[in-house]
Amino acid sequence: MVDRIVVKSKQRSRVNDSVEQALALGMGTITVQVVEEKTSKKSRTKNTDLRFSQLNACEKCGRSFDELTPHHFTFNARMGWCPSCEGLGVQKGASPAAIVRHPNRSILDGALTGWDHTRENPSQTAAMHAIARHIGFDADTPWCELSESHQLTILQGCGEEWIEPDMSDVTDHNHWKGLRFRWNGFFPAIDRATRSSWHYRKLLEELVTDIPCDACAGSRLRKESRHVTLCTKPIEVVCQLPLIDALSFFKKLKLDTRQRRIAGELLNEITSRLKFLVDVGLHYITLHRSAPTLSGGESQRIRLASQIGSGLTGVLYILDEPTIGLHPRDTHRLLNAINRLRDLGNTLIVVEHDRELIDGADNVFDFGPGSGIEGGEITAVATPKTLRTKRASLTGRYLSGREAIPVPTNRREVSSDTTDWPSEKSLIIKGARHHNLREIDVAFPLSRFIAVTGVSGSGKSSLITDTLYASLAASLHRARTIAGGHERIIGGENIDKVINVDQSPIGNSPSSNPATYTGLFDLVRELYAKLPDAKVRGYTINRFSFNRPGGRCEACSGMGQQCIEMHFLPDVWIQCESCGGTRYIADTLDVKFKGQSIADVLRSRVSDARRHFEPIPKIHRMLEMLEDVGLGYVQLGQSAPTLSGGEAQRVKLAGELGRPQTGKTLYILDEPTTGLHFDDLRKLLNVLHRLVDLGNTVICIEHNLDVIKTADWVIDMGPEAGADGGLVLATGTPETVASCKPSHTGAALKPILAEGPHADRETFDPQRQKTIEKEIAKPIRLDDAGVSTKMPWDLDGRKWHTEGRVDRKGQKIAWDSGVLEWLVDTIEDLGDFAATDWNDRARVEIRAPKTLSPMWFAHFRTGGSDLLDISLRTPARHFDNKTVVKALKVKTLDKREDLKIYGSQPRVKLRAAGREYDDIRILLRDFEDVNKKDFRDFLHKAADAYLHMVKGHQSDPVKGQPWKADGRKWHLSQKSINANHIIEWKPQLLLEFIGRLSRLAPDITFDWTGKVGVGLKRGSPKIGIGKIVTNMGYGLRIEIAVLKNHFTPLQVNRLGDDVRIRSLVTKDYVDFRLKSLTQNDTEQLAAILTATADKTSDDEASEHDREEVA
Amino acid sequence: MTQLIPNRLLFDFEFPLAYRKTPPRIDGKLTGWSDNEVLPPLMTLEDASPFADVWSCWNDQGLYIACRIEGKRTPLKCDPKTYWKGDNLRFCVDMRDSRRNKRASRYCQQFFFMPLGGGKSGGEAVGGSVKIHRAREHAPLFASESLLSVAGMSKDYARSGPVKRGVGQDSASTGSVKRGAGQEHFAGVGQGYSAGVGQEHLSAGSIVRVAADVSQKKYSLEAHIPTDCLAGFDPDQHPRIGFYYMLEDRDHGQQYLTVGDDLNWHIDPSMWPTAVLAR
Repeated sequence: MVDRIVVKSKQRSRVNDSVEQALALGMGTITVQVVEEKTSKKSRTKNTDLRFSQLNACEKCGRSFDELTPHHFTFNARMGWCPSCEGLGVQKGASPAAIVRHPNRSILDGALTGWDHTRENPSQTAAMHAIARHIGFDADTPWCELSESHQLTILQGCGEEWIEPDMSDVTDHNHWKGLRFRWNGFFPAIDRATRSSWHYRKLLEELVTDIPCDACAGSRLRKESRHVTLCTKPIEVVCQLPLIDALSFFKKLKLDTRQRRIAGELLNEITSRLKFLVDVGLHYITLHRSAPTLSGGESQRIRLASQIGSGLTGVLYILDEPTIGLHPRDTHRLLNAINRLRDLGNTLIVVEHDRELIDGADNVFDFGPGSGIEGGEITAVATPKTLRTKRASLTGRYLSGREAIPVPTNRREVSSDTTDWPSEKSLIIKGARHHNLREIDVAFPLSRFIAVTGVSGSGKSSLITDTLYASLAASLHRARTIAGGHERIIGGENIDKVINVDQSPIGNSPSSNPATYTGLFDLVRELYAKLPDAKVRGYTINRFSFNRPGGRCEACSGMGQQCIEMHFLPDVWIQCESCGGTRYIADTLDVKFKGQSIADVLRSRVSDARRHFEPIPKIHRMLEMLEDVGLGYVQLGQSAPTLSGGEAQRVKLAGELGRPQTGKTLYILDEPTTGLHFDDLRKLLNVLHRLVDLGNTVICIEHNLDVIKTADWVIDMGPEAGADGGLVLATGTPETVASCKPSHTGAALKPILAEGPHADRETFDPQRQKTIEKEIAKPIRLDDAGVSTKMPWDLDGRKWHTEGRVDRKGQKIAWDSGVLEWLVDTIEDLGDFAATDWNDRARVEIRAPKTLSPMWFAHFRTGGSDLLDISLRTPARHFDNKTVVKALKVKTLDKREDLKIYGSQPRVKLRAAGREYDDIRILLRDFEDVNKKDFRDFLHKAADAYLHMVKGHQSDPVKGQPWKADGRKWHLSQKSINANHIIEWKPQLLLEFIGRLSRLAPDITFDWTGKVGVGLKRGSPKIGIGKIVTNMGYGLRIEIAVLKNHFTPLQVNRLGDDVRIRSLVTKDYVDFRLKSLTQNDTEQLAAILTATADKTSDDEASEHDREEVA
Repeated sequence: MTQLIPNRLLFDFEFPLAYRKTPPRIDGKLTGWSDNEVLPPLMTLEDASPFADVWSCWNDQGLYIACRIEGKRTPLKCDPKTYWKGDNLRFCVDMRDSRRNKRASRYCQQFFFMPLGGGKSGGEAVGGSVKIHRAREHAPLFASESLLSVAGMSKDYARSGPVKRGVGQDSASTGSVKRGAGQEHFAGVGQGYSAGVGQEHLSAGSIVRVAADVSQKKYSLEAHIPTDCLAGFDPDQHPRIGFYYMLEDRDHGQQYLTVGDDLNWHIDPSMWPTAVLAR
């Protein structure tokens, strides 16, 4: 008790003192007891306790709160951030889109991944019914119609509650009796799998993405901070508003006098800064958007906005393409902001390609005249108006209209029915709902150049990159991408590839360059490996690689430069002293094609290299592609990190053009014109239109009006950004979109279309591409370049192998070549052999006459430096290892003290080589090893045994080959399957599948005589169209040759497991695996049987190619 | 991608283990096993069907497990030194219901059984327990007599003391070992073994019995793990136990109760379901 007071007005100071004293004694809390007066003597006094506290604490639960400070509202301070995510707002977790694949289906009909055929599986059905009953919903209800809490329970689990399946759902009562389970849910189970197993960590890492933090729901702030509201809105809601809405919110705030006194100045600051951001065209972004997700242009504009607010003068600002990602509607806002900065007394240097911004400049410096090595000069310094008159200025010529990208008058037409489905000529996304998309259906006409436009934030990238690309990449290329929410995509079977061409670098390593990226360098290396100089020295294609040891300079590891570490300063790269920057050692550089070494090729520019390789069509065509996309000035060996984004993009497109075109590829480009000058843009458009002329489809997300005006079809999204966007505003030709009044793109496009000029676009002849592809497909022939391909071993093989012989590395051999001559002569005398084959660089062979057998008897490997390596082939088990070693009496190397090489292993070894033969391998040095009677006797016996064997084969060709005697029995016995394999298919499957083939194509005949497979033939005369491989344990593997580019992946995806389309020169192969016939879709099988191709012709061609490469 | 994770990982299962007053005859003939004792075929949740039947039951003498595999194509490969490579049945129990623990305790044991590979000739059924990797504590190890007769394995055992021959061997391919009080149990070789471990004393009557009936295209296997070989067996106080089996066959692959090798069942008892020892 501190004091007892009767409260009267005179006691005010005493009350104050007592309260202060009590608070001090009570550590911030006091209790005041109000004692009521007695109404009578008998009545009791009523006492009421009032508790007061200076602490922000709840008496009941004991929870206390700090005094609020600005730190409580920042996610960068411990006081404010969410303790779970520490202010990041996100956590790692599985994406719901990966788990719920078909939201419009029920959990029994395959809504959930891994539960695709639940209805057909009694156990799964029983489990799902039990879970649904326990949670309280009908298992037949489509996922999208389930309440949010039900969906969450399926994904998050039921916790510790046990669920018992209803025995009426179960077919197998005995086994399920008494069984019960807990439902863990997908998220916890995936989390458990990734924590428990490295295998699943790797497998699911693509699925794991940033999802909003469970604790703060993505707001980044702790709970206490989120409960503080301003006009009913907590801080995270305000931060999630687009800037234009946030500005309007703060402007419309109604505050009383006291509140205004507190917040007045702050509100002025907030609204002015928001206004600056809106003024530079950033009205669509939100305050909580993280910096890494901003484009270069957006971040520059944010910095610009902050500078406008700072009011500094006399500052030099340098901006590099601030218009990136900016819709033309907003360019004037940016220009106004820049002018305001200038008017404050600052100087602004802007590197820019945008026409409107150049026009708004006070002075223009034009660089040129060309790109790369052809640039580096200032071609004009003038105001935008006078720049138009400068002839030397390329920019001026474009601004004045003397040079222009014309509006094409011969657009590819799109018939109106392509926007309806089903249609073979269009690709349709139904029900796209990712981010701000509002369940829209969008049709893309195929084989057209399509521009997707709209103000920033209207949903272009959500539709194209996040939904269309991700979905097609997953279905066509098995990419582990997760598509944004959509109902389905129709027409995917008309596409065989989807490629996203962006401006990301083609490689981060200096060893990547345009030549390596496009595959050109492989061809150049192949050419150099074929040169006589290289063949005589034994150089292979690897010798000419600067990424592998062998031919490269090891001092710099093939980089041409060496890194000097400067410790406290950045590293310095200097030219390698050892190779002088050539990347190769001198021996490699001695091999020259038309006077140029491989290092000279890497140093040369594309246009020079094209002239140099004119006689080699395969290389020449690839270089032509690079020149066609405007990269004639680039050095072939220019390291990838030094290429600009636009150059990297064009290298990628050139690489694409160099590949065989199927005419069914979909190219997706997101703002490809970033950083491109008008002239580069013209080149890029030429390439893109060329791809479309070949039958491909190009979808381009773009703000650039020069691109939009040349498109065949425009899809304009909008009308505004964020929640006000997500709709398709207009579709059609650029002229149609220009006439659409609510479209901002249309409004900007209208004057551009009117201005012209209009001209016919030059079309690319697809036949020309076919010619190019044929030339690229042909093997490299040195004869075409006038280089003699006659090798010493072709001219006189015996002399090459026996006189002045060099080993595989080009060094002189140490073994006695007289031994080789003696052995060959001796064996030739032992029996009736065909003429010895000397015409190879490192191999000599003695065979029986071709009429008897194609199999060799003696095989001499002459490329070794120390020993001659011989193999003799004898009938299986005719000799045994011990007898042979004893008979030949070849000493181990350790026992030959005169030799400088050593080894304790026997130099003679016999090993089985299949069912029919044994191989006897002998390593010889000189005559001391062979000059014995026993050796000669053994040779005699071996030759006799060999000749006897091949003659026996002639009389009984199926001996030891049961598949030839009764192929059907052999294949059904599954004996060809390796004993270590687990057999997962039944022999009946082979008969069933053959029956199905016969029903679908009665003219197919089956060749059972193969060892590992049943051949498929059809037509008259019978032509091989494929085979059924039966020696795999996991199932039958079927390969069927079909017409080139006839099928796309989605047209064959239901044939079986692991379906692939392999592309050869003149046809494709469809490969798939079967474990049961139910995996095989009859319709798709029937379709491929209508378009089978001749299997043999291409095999010969590819065999020829392989030989050429070898 | 049709399946992200095994469907069985989405559940925690619990099932009753059949009680059987009269113990099954361990002779490899599978006499007397009933349908009630078949373990639930949980693999059907993955669209797979079991290639073998597996039975299990319990009584106051311990746990019993049996299996039958048909349709063998290749000869059996059973080498107890590398038991994990050949045809084998592995069986894990945790005598306490601690299904959230990711590391084995002293109540967790892993046994392996093989239809061949035991005895001097290698023609007897063989079985024993092995250490569980990354366990916090290890339960004592046990082996059948036929395992100790295998060349190379007796070396460690010899250090532990003499073996008393077991009684009641009722099949040609039956192997069992009985040890008296004060004898030290088997500490062998192979995965999970290390020389010198488990030099502890066992109570009388520690017997692991295993028997098999092998023919050209099929085999059956039966095993009895007595209470003395089960660390912490107490069905009255702790009727809920961790229970897992994995049947490995060279012809058919693997058949397992809940999750496979990819989820580390052999080191992580939290992956084992719960069996209830109800009478």
